[in-house]
Amino acid sequence: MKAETNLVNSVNLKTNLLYIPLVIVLLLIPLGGEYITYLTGLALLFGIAALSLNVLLGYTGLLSFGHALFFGCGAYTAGMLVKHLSITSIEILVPTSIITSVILALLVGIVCVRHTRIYFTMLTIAISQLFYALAHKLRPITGGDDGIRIYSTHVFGHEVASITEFYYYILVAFFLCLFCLRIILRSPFGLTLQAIRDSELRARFAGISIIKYRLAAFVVSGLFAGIAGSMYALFLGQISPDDVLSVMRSGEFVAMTLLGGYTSFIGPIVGSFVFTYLKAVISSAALYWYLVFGILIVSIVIFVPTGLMGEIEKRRRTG
Amino acid sequence: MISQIVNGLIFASILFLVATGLTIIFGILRVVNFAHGSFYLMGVFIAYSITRFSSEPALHLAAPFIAGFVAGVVGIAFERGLLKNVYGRGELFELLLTYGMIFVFMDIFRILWGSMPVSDPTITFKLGIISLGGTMIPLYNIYLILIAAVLATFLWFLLSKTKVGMVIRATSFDSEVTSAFGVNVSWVYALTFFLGCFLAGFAGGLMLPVTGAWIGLDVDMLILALVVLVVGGMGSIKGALVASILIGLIRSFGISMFPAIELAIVYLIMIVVLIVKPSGLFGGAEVES
Repeated sequence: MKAETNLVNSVNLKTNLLYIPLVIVLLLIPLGGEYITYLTGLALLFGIAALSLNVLLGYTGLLSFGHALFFGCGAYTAGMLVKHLSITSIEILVPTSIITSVILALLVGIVCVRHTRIYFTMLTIAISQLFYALAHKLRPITGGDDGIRIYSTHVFGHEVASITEFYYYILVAFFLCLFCLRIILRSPFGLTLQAIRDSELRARFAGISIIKYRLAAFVVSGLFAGIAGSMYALFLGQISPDDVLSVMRSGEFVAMTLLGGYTSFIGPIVGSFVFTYLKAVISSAALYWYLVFGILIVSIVIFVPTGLMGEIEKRRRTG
Repeated sequence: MISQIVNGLIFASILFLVATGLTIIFGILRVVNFAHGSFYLMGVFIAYSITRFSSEPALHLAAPFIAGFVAGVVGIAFERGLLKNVYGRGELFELLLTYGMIFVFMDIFRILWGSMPVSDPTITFKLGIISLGGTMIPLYNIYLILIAAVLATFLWFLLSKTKVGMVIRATSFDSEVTSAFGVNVSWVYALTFFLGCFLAGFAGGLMLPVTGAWIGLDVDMLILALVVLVVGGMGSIKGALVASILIGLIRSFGISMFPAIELAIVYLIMIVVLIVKPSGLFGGAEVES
């Protein structure tokens, strides 16, 4: 896969200003009621996860179909700390999730990044399925297929009272992640990743250690997915292997990224919003969500392979 | 013990048929067909609809063949109608297209056959049971294993001894040169898809009396077929055979001996093979018999 667009410079100052109204809308979302707040919270968390997936897909050209592993790692780290140690403070849970996700991503990454293309994809499926099967069966530790319930969470000793309050924590986390990823991917590190993606051979001639860079990308990717998973567990108050660790969840992250556009930095977030709202609308209307979802993916792949943002940015450049 | 071996072999036979379809398609088109489990599920549902007409054993025995044929035709329609559009754009898009089809099929099945599990063991009762070393085994289960073995032999014959097989192998080896020799490669692709989807649908039809079908089985079957595909070597039919028997027996014995980690072991094998030998146990890139 070659995306010959530069993911970094495609957004200039003028478009940065365009984001200000969007930020204001996000801040005012709770005015729309609890359900809208809940949905937007989900979209933001999935947005972080899809964005982290795109560190691999968009910047290194590696398709992970097991990204729920790190999302689930974050979620289960938080869940198990609550279940076994009765720790409910977000300021402890989320950093711990970051640590476990980084360790897991490092271990899994060492194995995975030596492979590319379909072998990489297969390996990510296999490893995530292994953990999925374990989470299912190790009932005393993980709660089996019932999963884990989290009844209350605290921030610096204060109990989180409402969805709205938690929504603002998510919003803060979201912008922090966005900001960090932006800096990471704009750095020489991000540019090197793109160089490797576009021509491994040329990058190698330039003296770049390809494996090391891919591993670093893998860890960055796992880290942010872990944050998203951890916050997701606390936001929902309920996790299960099928919800946070399954290959279906991994596939959804891929679909969001594809939908929004893997060639655009902001694409996966757009994808996650469209995905989350569309799913809510169609499911609530008792229509066939999977049919719509499937047709959507097929049409995107055939007609707009660079996704919504890819198409928008292309039109902006040409017209 | 004997019943576990038989159960393992049933599972292995089914896995072999499904995974061989997957491996042939990969060998020729270089596409991992994520919708392959859906063709399997389609086979069970179609066989179910066919067997509604009568309880005649002949109809029940013929049902898997008809189901396989229908699945094959749907497969051709999918390949010619949709998949063809993304050839040359890279394997990522081909993979994602077949991934999207999983969901399209899922809801179509739900519309046509409802959300409840379906099963029909009529033929198992009609054929009766036989005693194998003191263990009672349904005769149908023996038939299922034999017919899979016959089909495996037929496939080997088709691919290694006939002209059609030669063209298929040539296309797998180098599609450009093959087309330069006057072979219509598009037709080979379509034929391959028919064959692959026929095998999946046929396997599904065979399983109607044994396990039946439910929505969600498509993804379960896909994952297991992927395990076989990887362990056996992508594109190798011999590899698919060995890996299916391996995975089939491990699952059958694992379920009774160590149920807690039975699936985990299967995935662990897949991971180890991918790390140690990414090309699989019998890793050739081309379709081999």
